[in-house]
Amino acid sequence: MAADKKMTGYRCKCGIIYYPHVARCAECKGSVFEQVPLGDEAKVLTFTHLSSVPTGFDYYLITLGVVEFPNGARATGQLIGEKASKVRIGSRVRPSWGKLREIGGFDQFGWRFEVLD
Amino acid sequence: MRPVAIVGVGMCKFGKYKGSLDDMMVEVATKALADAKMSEKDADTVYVANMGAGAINRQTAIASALIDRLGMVGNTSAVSVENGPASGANAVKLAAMEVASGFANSALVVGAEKMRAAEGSIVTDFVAMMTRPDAEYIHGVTLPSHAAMFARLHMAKYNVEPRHLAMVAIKNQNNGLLNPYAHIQQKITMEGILTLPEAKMNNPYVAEPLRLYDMCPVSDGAAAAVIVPLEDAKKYNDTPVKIAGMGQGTDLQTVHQRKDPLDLKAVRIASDNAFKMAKLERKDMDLLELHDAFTILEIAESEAAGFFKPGTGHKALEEGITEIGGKLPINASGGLKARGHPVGATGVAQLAELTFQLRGEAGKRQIAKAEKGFAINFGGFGNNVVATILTRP
Repeated sequence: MAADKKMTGYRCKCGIIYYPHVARCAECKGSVFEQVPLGDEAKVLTFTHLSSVPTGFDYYLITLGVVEFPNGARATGQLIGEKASKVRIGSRVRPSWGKLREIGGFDQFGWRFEVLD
Repeated sequence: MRPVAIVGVGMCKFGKYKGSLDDMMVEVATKALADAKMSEKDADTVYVANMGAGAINRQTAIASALIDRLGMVGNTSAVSVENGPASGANAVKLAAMEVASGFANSALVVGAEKMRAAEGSIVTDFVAMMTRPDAEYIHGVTLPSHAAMFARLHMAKYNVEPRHLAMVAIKNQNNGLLNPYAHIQQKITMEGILTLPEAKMNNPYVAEPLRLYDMCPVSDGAAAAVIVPLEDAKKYNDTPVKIAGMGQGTDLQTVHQRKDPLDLKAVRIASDNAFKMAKLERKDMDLLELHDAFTILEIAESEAAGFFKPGTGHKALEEGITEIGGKLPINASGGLKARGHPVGATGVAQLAELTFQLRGEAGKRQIAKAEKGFAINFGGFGNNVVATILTRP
């Protein structure tokens, strides 16, 4: 499922890219969006190492971050990989599909971000 | 719309409450009704603010439960209000509007939350449910993680240091020692939570760069207020407090979608609207109750609400301006940091505290000559905010 999957955002006529989808743009109130690929690489804008983890995780610590793609779209997600513990603002990340957590007894899947440097 | 006033308030000791959620609501409602000389009267309308009873106490529609226990049924209307951590001030706003419009002549507002009924990870999870389900919650985003990611950016941009965050915690816990309602009654020092080697053990990171003492505790708690038309207020209480202004502002729920992640837009808009309604200015305020669920928020809200320029809130803190006895005391009650943050109760508790202060009944934490006070009740991660101005009429 994941190999050919790409992160997709929703570009409003006014230029703002939303991720995930919204019904109306907060700026221009437009409701027509074009699906656009977000890209294969993004940069970390901010992050935290969270040791008070909510239910549904097998770990005691997760790293979360907000990342920004070259087209300006942003996303929030888990920062993963060997380099996640050394992540800094500006680190490069690559979207990676996988299990996020369990909610209500069901595994949830989605995009995580592998830290590259 | 006619002006309205708070003529009765009541609170319970925040912390671990022995009785049920209903017991807690009844305790504070009874105190507020007695304070308004309404012990044997019904209110026309009752609002109850609560966020998590359905998730953690297995109880919903709790306004109906409260009027049943109070024997206040018949013509009294009862409404439960759930608007995240801004539920409390929102319930006050709705009650004030109902009385101001003339639809009701008296309103009882209760904010209540019994959070310690569940274990920590479940409480963290239920609070996190107010984040966007498919963009934040599913990834494990919690409110502490939002605050941490905000703090990292704010600290880098404005040269705010960990010691500034610790100063907020120390100030508010010291203030809490003067507040018998406060959950946390513990004196802390800069050495103990930051500078000594053992501080790393005492005060570990929870969501780096935020540490344990940067977070509010998990508390049970409730607060209540009685609201009537200002013109009738003296019949209920010799020292009524006017609701001079209320404002609400909103922002995108998906935090990463905000143009400037450091702009607490909803705080700014809610504050501007409250001041516009009150026809007052920032310099007129004698004290502030801000929503310091995390230490960084006290600093950031003091700027976004317009009391200090962006990037200078931590300097005002450092200069002692925000201490009891300073030029503009913030969170003389101990704030959420020390009083506790039973989410649905907080907004009502903030206004009960301002009422105590404006009536000169705040005991050891009393701000001298307090006549005008301001509160921010911050919902979501700043996406739904209510600002309130109370004054001595």
